Amino acid sequence: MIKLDRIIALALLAFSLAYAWLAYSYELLPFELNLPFKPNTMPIGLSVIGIVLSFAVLVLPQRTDAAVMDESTVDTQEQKAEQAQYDWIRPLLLIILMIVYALSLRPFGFIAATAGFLVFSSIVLGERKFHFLIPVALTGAFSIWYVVQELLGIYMNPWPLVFG
Amino acid sequence: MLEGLALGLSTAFSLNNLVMVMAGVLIGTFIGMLPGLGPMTIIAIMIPVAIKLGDPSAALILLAGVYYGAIFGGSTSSILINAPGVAGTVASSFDGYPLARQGKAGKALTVAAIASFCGGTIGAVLLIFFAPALAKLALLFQSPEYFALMVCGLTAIAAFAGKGQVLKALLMTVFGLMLATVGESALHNAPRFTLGVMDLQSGIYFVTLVMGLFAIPEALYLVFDPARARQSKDGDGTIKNLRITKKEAKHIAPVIGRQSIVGFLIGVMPGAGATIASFLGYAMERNIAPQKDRVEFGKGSLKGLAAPETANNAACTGSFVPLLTLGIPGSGTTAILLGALIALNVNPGPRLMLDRPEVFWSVIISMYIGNIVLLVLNLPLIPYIAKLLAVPRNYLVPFVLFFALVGAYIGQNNSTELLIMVGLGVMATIFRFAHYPLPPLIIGFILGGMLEDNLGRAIRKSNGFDFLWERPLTLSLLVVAVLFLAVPLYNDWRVTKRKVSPN
Repeated sequence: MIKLDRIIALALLAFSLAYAWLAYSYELLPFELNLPFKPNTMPIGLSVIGIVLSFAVLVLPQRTDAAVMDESTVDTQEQKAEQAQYDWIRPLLLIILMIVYALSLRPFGFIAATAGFLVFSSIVLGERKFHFLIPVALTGAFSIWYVVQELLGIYMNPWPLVFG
Repeated sequence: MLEGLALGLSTAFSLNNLVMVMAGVLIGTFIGMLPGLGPMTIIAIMIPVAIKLGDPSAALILLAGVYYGAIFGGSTSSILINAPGVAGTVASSFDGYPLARQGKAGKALTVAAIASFCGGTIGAVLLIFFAPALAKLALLFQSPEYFALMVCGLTAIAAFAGKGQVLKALLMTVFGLMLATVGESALHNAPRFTLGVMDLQSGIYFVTLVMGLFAIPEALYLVFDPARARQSKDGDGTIKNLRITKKEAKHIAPVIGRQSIVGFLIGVMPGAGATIASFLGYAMERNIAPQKDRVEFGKGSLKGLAAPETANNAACTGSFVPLLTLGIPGSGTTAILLGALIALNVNPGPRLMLDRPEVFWSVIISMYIGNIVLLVLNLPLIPYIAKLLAVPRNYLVPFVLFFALVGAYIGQNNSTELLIMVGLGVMATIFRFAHYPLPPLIIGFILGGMLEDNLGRAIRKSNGFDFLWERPLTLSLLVVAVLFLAVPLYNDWRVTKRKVSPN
């Protein structure tokens, strides 16, 4: 089975190639043609390094024993053992909800869209106590809107577009 | 220096900034305690608020407070429920959690707080001496040296963050640099790589990228892997007796003294940071402890708890040295702080101390205040704050996602930004599954603009690449960068070779 890190390396190789093509085909202005440092000088250099590195990750054997830990991944070895039990459906639904939220902010207004997002994402995660969930979502949405707009002074339309 | 200290004191002790540091520390502790949420995520969430404050001193003071608070909050969840939110506090759970299971949770928290306080305070004293000296040296730097220094920093970060996966870390750095070239650059006004998308004209918004890379995967991971959020049944959450005896204080004092200095020095090195400092501190103290103390390590040793706690806080302070004096972040977290400063029109670097002394010194002074707030305000409140550990996942995850979305939205006020963020979040989650380290990506992204700017100026000045070998300082920095890469790459290659062919 092809490992996920090789697939990512392949994707990054494709990205680097596309980036290289865009960098090479960048249209320079007449006065830029003779500059020692052009707008596409660094991108061309980066694309070459990107292609070499992604190709190297793709073909060279990778260490799998390493205690691969950085600030964002803790106890990855244990996680690996539990990977089989990962829940894939709910994260996917949450991602869809985030996209819907992004698209509904303008037409539905901040408060309705946010309360909707909070309620539905909690339902996706298994929450069923609606008498508790709905007030929490509404209070959360309203208080954040209040903090952002009234205290921080950033305008956010709270109501659906039809109300102006 | 005394003048600077006085200026820092007067700025940091203004009512507004005192409120900022207290609020920052409390918010950091609150959120940092939630399993799975590290300082990077919390700072990312707080950045729109900090930028909106408008005053760089207040903003940095708030964020530095959040940083300290988050580290302390992370230690609290490590000790109480054995769920370290970040790698930096993993070592604290080795002895902290056994202590909590023995019913000494209060004592463990006090030791952690005192160790953090001392580590942070001694670190801040060292910072006062280190930073101005380094800043003076850095004033000799010109564009070629800056370029070389950034290459040096990027390679060091990739080499440290990779831990056996240096190539992947390097690839992530280059990917971050590529993302930084989207939109207009400092030297050229025409937009690049926007693919006709108007919203990309001014580049990818930094908060969008940070939220996408850290907050979203963090929240999704809590759902992917319920075990990560599951709470241990062993701790019953009640915390009694926060006191430690005089004898115990004497027992841990030398550990705190040693680890403050070691942690600070590790923190100063780019890329090393709190995680390495805490593990190294733990290992070092275990090795030099007398036999009767050594057997206690891992079973609830106070020394074993004090060492990583001191070292990680001292390292956090140390990581401010390269940020404030060279404008080079030493870790993912300081990279995010650097991004926030740039958004506030402050350019950290050697000139910061001369041009904006109030920012420079007030941050240092606020570190002291932050540490005092941690000890005086947070510790007595811990039994109450710990109740937050009971927030169910069904509410925690939607709110974290919502904060990430709102953070990106209020910065730009358009939905495209949110869609870009969700896309980046999905990408980052996949990267994490395949162990591609993300901090190098964000550091590459943040340094990308400056790197290109300095490289461009250096090339134009010398009309070519001659500056690479004609300037001794540039050349030496580049040689160091090559060494940073060569050593771990060689080690990787050796280990892989041994694994592939055991004979």
